[in-house]
Amino acid sequence: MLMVTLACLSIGYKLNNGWFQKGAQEAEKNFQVTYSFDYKSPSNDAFQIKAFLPTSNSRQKISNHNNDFQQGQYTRNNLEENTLGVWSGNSFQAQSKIAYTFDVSGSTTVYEIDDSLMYTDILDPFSSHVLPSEYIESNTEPIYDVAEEILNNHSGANNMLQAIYDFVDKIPSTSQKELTTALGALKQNQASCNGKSRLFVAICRNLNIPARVCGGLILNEETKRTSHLWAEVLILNTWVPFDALNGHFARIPGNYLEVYKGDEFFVKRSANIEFDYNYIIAEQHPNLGIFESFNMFHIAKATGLSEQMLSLMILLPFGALLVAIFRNVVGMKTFGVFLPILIAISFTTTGLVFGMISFIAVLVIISLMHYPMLKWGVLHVPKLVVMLSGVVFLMIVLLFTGMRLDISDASNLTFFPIVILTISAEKYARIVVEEGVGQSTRILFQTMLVTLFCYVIVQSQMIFLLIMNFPESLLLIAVAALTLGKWIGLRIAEYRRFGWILS
Amino acid sequence: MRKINEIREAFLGINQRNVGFVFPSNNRKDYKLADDKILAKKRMEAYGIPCAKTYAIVDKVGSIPEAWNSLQKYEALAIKPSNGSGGEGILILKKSQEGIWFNGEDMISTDEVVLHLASIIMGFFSGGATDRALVEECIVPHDCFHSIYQRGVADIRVILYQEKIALAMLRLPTEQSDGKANLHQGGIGIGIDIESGKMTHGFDGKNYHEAHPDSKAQISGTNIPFWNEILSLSLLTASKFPLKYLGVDIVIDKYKGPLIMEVNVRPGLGIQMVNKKGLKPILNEIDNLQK
Repeated sequence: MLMVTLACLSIGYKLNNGWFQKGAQEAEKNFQVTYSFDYKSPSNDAFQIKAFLPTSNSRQKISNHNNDFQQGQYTRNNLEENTLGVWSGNSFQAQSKIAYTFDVSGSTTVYEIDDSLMYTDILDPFSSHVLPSEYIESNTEPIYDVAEEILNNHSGANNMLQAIYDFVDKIPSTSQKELTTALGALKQNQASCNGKSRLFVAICRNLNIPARVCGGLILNEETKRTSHLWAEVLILNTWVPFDALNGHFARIPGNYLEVYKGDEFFVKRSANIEFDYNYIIAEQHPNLGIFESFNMFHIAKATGLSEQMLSLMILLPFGALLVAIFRNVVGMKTFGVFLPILIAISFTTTGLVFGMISFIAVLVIISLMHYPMLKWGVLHVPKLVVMLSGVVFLMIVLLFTGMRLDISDASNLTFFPIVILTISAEKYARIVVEEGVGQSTRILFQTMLVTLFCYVIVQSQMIFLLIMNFPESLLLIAVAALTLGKWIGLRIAEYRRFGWILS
Repeated sequence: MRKINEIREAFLGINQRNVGFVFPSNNRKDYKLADDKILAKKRMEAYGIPCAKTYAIVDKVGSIPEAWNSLQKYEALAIKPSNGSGGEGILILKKSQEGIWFNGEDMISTDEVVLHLASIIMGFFSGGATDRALVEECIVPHDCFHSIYQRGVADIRVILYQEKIALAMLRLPTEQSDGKANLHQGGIGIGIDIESGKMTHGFDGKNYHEAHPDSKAQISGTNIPFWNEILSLSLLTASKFPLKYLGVDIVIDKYKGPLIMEVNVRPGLGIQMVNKKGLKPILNEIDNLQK
């Protein structure tokens, strides 16, 4: 009773306060960003440092600007599409520093492109955003060839953008820092973010689809010099983001900070100074009460543990309860209590069909090893060691075969819980010997059925959100299990077993 | 719906057997008095409950040769793991007229016997935990069941609750079970009417029979020999064990009559199928009598 009350109170409190995250990616992210500029002038001339400044919009909120710059003048200039900060002054021999700090809170935004939208709906030959520019050579022959190929094969706007995106996506990525033009990316057949974004924009522009590059920072807890460039396409008066380097199609993650539009340089400065810069990014954790912070998303963020791992930890008792219900209420037989749930978890990485086939194969092959050892009279624990070696060896053989045949799924087999698999194989083998092939096959079938149910639970996004937001639901699981432990009803299988006597 | 209620009221399921009867009636620490064959034997011997004579208890690999030497004076032996289950690891040995030991039709060497004893002690038949080997007198089955079926050893399972008899069945081997009386190894279970001691019908796990499936000898209505002795032996056993819900297995020896072979803390529920009779009303009635 106490446990149920406690769990319900805690869940109720959270719900009442609207504290329900929809998962890490949709969650708002908060960062403090500092532009840190160091400069030193050997001569006595005037100098300027210019950098674009982010502004608030529908998906990012910029607040608490703070400009730490004592030795000169600072102006904030609103340009047509961007905001530019200009720090100017006369030179000083001593090394000086500029620190421009602000807070960002961003959210992931996903755009829907209606499938009924045609190419003709999004093209606009008169837009200024279809003209070629210095680094986006959209009017050149090679770009034209690519664009024509895409135009000949697609007519829907969504398909077309997907085709452009896929074309850019399959160009090998590099991490080179220097500027790559659209044409350069195409010719070298490799590019980093700036080359890929320019190529994406160039293909769009060649097709008279208004597009532009967009610059900013990918926010993570770090200090770095690298900024990021992605593309935007104007679709029905909305600029829709695409980042073929990081796999975002019509989507922008919460930790993307938009700073400027157009093919510009993030930072510019007078040539006569020694200059160095850094972006210092710190993630800010909101101050939460004890109830709100008892949330696995929050715990994952604060400890750096993976959400996946934490969720599987909680899913283990969840799945075990499911297995307990199948055993004690339905009356199904399974190899071990934890095997179905652990196998279900490993299926999430191997894939269901491939996982099932390999699982049954491993189980049957290993249990075949059991028979000669039984005949020969090998003691229990050493026998388990032999079978364990067999399981591991079989895994390695499958891995090796997968490697030779280039089957990528095979490497996921190592996620099988090897020790438990071995013990189960031994049990399976013993049931084959003691109760015959029929009975053991029935139990294997029931184990797979329960595993399938566990798999559905493990895969369910709803249950993932539920347990991540309300880890106190474990108390409810314990109470449910206790109730089950004192439940004296007949199992469904027993109704069948005893039922036919009466008929 | 009516049928479901009927089943629910009559039959005892595993959940209720454990939660409602095994757990409250039997102390966890007393389970071993039944599960461990040597502890059970010692208790039976102490209270004078008829059972097979113990020849030797071997608990160390080092004492196997000495024990084996001392066993040479007997003509027949049964070697059992004290903590085995389901009849696993039981070795029956008989001496030929020339003084050579045989296991069934096969000759068996001293080395093989020693290896078997060592396997028992090292836990081969008890899931890895070390165990002791019990060597006892080999039962000579009474010929009272030979009119029904001649091979193997028949045994009688009685379930007792609060020192009252709840249900009983006779288990007979068949051709299919290869001399074993265990139900899921193909043996046949025969329901017993407790009042009269008469057999009701046979059950092979799928169908009910009036006669033994192999010999075709009549089952239904046949008297169980030594029935009154079997009843009093079961009641005596129940009174001497601190277990209030238990099953006892009895065999009938040619010379000594009914003997207790085994005591079970968690007797199976298939006996309800064999008797076509649910345990629930019977156990409830016993509970009511106690009040």
